[in-house]
Amino acid sequence: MNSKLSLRDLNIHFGENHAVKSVDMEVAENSVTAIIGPSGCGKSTVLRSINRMHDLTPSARVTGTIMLDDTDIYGRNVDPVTIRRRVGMVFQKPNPFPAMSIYDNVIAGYKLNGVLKKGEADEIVESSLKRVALWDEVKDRLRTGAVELSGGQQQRLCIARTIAVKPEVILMDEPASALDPISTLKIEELIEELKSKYTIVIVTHNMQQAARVSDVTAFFYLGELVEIGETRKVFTNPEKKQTEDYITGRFG
Amino acid sequence: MNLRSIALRRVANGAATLLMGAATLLVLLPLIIIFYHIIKMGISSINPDFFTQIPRPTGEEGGGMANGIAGSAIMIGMASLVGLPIGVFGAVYLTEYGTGKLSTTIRFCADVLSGIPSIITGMVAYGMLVVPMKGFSALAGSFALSLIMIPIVLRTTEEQLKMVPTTLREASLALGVPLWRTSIKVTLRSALTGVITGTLLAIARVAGETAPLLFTALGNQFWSKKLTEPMAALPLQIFNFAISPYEDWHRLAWAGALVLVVLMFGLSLAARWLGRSKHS
Repeated sequence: MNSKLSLRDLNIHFGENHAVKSVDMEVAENSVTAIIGPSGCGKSTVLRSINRMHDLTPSARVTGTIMLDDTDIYGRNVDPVTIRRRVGMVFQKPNPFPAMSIYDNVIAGYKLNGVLKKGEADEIVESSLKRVALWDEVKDRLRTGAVELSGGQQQRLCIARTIAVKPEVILMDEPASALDPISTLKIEELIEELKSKYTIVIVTHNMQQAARVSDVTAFFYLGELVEIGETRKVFTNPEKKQTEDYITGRFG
Repeated sequence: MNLRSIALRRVANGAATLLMGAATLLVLLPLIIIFYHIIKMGISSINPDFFTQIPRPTGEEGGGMANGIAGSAIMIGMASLVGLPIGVFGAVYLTEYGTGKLSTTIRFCADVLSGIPSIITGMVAYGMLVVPMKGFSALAGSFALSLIMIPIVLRTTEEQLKMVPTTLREASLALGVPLWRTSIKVTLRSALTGVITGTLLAIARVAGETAPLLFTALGNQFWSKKLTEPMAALPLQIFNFAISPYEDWHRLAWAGALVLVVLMFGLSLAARWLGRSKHS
């Protein structure tokens, strides 16, 4: 398989704090890569560096390279906005735009950028909501506020909003941790379904979830990438002692 | 615990409640006195003439403050036209882009500016506009009012923008929306009711300002034809009429005071109503 993302000697500092230490990692196209590890191990920090979300944090400093196909994400002449159009993100807490309807939330990426073509919107909304299996639940109330949906529905709406702008990579930062088990199951089914079209990197603190949804698992500890490999192998026959201790629940 | 100490505690509790209740009433008292007094003195002169006529020459009964009301509206409008965008977009810059020393300095300056007595703002406008233009004018008055408005709008808007959750900004950015569009279409949009509340309070504040207009707009007994002429304003007219020796001018001043207070009260109520409906 082709390598979609390639992290080379990635280091991230927040002021004096060295949060991510010299990480090398490949992410294959149309696969699901899970990043696991205890709280504070740097997994979310790595994820957020892939679409330059740290640009907003003045104290953050990212060094090394992240290649998205042939583009260096942190290259000198690279606009973070174009990167973020190719690399979408789903956040831990569902964050639909509260002032917008369900319909407007799905096309928010177009509306906020002022590039929506007339007549396109209906088609984008319907296909995006169908892809996240939300269409049947909301098709009769598309004009109502997005905040009236349940947490799980909101999160699927956020995924619909993300895929509506046709990214190549979707980053998911613990997308189901604020949801109930049934909503979680739906999100996991959705991830399985989405990987045929997108490359997905998911951070999770739920190891069963990582085992269920991912093809490759990366284990982080104290800012370092301890082990990365095929998910089945990492969970059944890890190479490193630390990985084994973590997945068997001895610490974390 | 024995009964004696419980009884003692009840007495102490009752005394403290009474004391705080009395203090609250004392806070309300000045407001009630002001309203009562202004209504009592001013209500008799409130009639259609007051809103449609300009002041009559001394000795002639009747007349109104139409030119003052219009002048206030014009100058507040022009001050808002300049002050509101500067205040609001300045606040957007401070919260969304500003980091480090520059924004700390701007914030500090805004605080100092809002603490400057308004008569000094008026003197500055006098020096900057009235002297070079060789005459008092509505423009100079508007300029002085906008100077008072900017720091108020800046700081209240900034507080409102800070309350917008980071996750919303991130949601927009992650969709490939540039920061400047995110700032305006997501962050400012989410805080809009709060921002409008803040601007209404700022308008209410400058509507009652007299001192900065003394050296700038000066006041006018007649309708002003140009913005480069002296212009009447409600608080100025109240001031001039109240210190005049004529009984009927005093009554007009009271009526003007009543109109001004009702206007400010209305703006404050509108601001409160907007602020509340956001949370329900």
